[in-house]
Amino acid sequence: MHDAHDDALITEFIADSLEHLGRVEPALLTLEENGSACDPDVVHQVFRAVHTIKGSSGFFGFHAIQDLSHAMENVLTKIREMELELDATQVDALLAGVDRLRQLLAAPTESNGMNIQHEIDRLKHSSGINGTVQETSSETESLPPERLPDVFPPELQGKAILRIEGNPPLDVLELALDLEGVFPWGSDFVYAVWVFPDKDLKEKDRTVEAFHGLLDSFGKCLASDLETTFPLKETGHVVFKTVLEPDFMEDALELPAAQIVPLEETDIQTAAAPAAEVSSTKAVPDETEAPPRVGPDQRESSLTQPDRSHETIRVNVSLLDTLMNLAGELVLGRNALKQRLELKGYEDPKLEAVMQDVEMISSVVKEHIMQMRMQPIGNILGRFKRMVRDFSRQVKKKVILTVKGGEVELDKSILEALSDPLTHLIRNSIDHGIEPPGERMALGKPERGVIDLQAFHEAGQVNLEIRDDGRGIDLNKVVAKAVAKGILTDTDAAVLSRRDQLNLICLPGFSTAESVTDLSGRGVGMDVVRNNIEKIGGHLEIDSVAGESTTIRIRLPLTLTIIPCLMVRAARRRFAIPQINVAELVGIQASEVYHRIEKVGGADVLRLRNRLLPLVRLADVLQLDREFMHPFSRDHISERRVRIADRRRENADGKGDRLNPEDLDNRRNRASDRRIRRQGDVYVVVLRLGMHYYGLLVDELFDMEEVVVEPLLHYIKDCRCFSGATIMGDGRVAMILDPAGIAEFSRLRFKEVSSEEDRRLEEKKRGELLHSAPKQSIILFNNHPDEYFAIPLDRVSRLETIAVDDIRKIGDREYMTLKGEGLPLLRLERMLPINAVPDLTNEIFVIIPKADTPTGGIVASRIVDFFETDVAIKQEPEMSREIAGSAMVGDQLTFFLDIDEVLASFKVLLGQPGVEG
Amino acid sequence: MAQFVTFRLDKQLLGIDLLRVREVNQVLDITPVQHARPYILGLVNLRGQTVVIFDLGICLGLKPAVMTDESHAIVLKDERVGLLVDRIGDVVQAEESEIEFSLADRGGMGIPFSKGVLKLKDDLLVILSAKKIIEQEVAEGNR
Repeated sequence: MHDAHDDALITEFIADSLEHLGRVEPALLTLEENGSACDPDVVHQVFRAVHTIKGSSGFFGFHAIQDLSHAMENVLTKIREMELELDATQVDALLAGVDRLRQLLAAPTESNGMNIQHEIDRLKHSSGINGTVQETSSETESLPPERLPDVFPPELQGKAILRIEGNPPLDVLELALDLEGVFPWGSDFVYAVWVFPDKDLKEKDRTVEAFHGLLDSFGKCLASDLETTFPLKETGHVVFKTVLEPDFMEDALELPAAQIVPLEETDIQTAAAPAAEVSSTKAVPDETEAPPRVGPDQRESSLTQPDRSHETIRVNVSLLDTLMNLAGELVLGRNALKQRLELKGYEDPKLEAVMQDVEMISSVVKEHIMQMRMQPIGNILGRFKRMVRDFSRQVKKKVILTVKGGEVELDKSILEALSDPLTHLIRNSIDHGIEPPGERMALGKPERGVIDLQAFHEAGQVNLEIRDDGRGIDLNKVVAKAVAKGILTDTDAAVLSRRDQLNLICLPGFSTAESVTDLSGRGVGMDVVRNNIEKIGGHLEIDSVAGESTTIRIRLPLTLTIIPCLMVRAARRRFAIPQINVAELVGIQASEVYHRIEKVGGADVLRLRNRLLPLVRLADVLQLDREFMHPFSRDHISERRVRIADRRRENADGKGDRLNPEDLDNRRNRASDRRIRRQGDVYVVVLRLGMHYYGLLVDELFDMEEVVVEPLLHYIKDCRCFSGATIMGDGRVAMILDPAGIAEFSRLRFKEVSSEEDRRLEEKKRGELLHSAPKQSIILFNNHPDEYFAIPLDRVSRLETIAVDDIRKIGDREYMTLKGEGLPLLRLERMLPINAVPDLTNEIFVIIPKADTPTGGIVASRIVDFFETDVAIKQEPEMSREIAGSAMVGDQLTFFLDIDEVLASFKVLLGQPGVEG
Repeated sequence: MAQFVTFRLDKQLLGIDLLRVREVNQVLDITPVQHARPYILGLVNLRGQTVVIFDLGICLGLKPAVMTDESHAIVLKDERVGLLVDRIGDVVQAEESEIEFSLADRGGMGIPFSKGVLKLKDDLLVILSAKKIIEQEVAEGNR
């Protein structure tokens, strides 16, 4: 009799069992790999999982499930008791059992009618068991003792190897522990901690030293295998003793609770007594014969302390989805609220504070909700190992799959969408990439091919790399095939870039496979894969070394939904740029535009400090200027469409109180017009694209906003420039830009620009060597106000000022009184073709150069400034000798005077005998 | 007994099965999506979700839509798509037997995607298959 309560229990049982099977499968593969040097813990783990399924199914009366699990259990018992060598036959049989169990679990109420004889026979055959299926009285079966007797020696000496198995994706922790540090235990807690270098250290900008320091500040690190050299590759493990309770550990270490496992004394003592049959396996939950649990997972040991730090609760996925949607709506609503408040001005000053509170709280809520949906990528990667094993045997090749970075987390929906494309890529590799063993050996490659799957974080995105060491892609063949299919003409083919050649593979209907096998080779592959990746907002790239390897790179957004964006305006449209891509913002005044923007190889480039940035004008890329101004409403309209709202206003209906988007925009723009923004100022958003940077030219910058991302519906996926859309606070839709797409679209030539950059740098260095002008102090002055001159400061004796009226004239010579003597005044315009000091000047400066005998003073209308400069002086041979050269000082063209020549010429003017120098 | 949402496009009276329609809305502020296919007018905000607006006129090979006060978008139930039409008409009821179904691709009046025609008092209603329209456009995209 099934009622609702039973149904809930059954659902629980199914979920539990599937989880067990999910762990059994990779464990079996691991066992197979390690051969007959069986890992007893893993065997035991598999055994217990199967045993649990058997027990629970018995409770419900699912006899088929019970019998099949029992048959599997028998095989495992034999293996465990070393009566059986583990090889492919057993693993095959066990895996077949797992598959069948899954099928049975899919419809448990009908499972008793399903035929399991085939699998049972296979299992019996593989283990040499004869006879009928044994009695399924699980109660009589005894398990090896789980617990050691309760009496322990209070203190233990020496070292012990502590071995803890983590719940996937955590691996096995195995560390040598100095027992003296552990005991006496007292009221402390001891934890086993897993640290992932990427996620926990690098991403959070923590060094290993800093982490150890953190541990030391809270307690005592008993053992650690965290590498201290970069780059960190392996997962690190730490055993750590502290007074902190489990509740605090997550915050203290800034690690997820799942990675911090409290240990008990018994665990350590078990490790210290190697004669014990069972090592502490923390991962597998209690396998009592009681009915399946409803509620939090129980731990196998009797806890003396409540350990809530990694308690989990199983939640219905649809509930999470609803929460996610609500989080999105919350952000939308909050943005709209904020906008309306800002429009009205905060009438009540306290409102602003309240708004900020709400803003912060909703952000945190959103983040936590998103966190709930994040799952480690290892969850789907694990099943590929099995697929590789099965499929490669099917096509008679030897292939192994290595997986790294399983702990990298992604939003659940992205993970789901990845499953199919990845499956296809891997099958492709096995089918077409990896050569048959004979061929590989002949080529000098190892007989077994390797498919390497790596997941890692980079530039705010999740990267997946699938690399096989197979044949690689023969680009010549690819191009030939494309020409043969009529996709390209011969002339087109000749000018294809390598990248374009590789991309040919992603065209629909394309395949250079000789024969059609199961899934791959039918030519429906790569374009669909790429499509699927792009649908979830990712990018796919292929690379290959012919004869050696093929690498597929996939970049994925972390989450679909809410990201911070910079809002910008180009022409009359607003766009959002994900903050992750924004490196820098540069404002260029109209006057500087000409100066700072140059052309390299026909493309616009911005000089930014030492770098040359390729520039793209957003309005050009999107052809926004095709919108023109409506003569009456003064609104921008695209060529053939008129916005309804305009007409509405003309009809002057005055309907309702709805916030007209027009008004909002007009209000905003009027406000910005009032701001001092000169015509022609431009803003450049410096975007980062992996290793490259480029500048996006826009007309206006707005704030950073958190936006709800709506993925691009697939009708508009052709638009490579966008990665999604969002609804802004005023209810209008804005497109979210995709920097990679824009770069691709504008065919940004990063290579050319960086070559030019290097070239200039070289030139600059060479230039500096030639006229290595050391830093010198100069005095900058005007004769005529528009003409600038410079004299080295160390050649100046003093500066004087004198009223024009006090200048004594004798004939055409001028003198000033200095210390009771007359000092001749030198007007530069008398020896150089320059302009004179204006007549109306009342006061002039006199620069008196150092000389053996006071020769004279140079007249200046204004002392501009004193500089220290290392600017290289450009020689001006056509100019008079008195000018040493010219250079730009600050913004001004300045003539540097050769003091000696000036004084010599002066003497000539004065009729004095000159000193030839 | 079937019901159809009827509308006019370039003077032609057309209809779509009521069951396929989520709602009919006046779309005020369409954000254009640059470089999209010609029949894509852009995106609108429908209660917090983005919906793509198709220019049904272009899909059918008729004249492109002109936005007026009367323009409406017929938002489909199963897709995030709204079909922009010049003018909305009444909901028309008819028995299946009254409809002349056609299997050919270009059924009544040489209009593509049509399922059949229904004779009304003073007019001829061409019934469109929303499903076919969507399928076609998706297929075109994958080309």
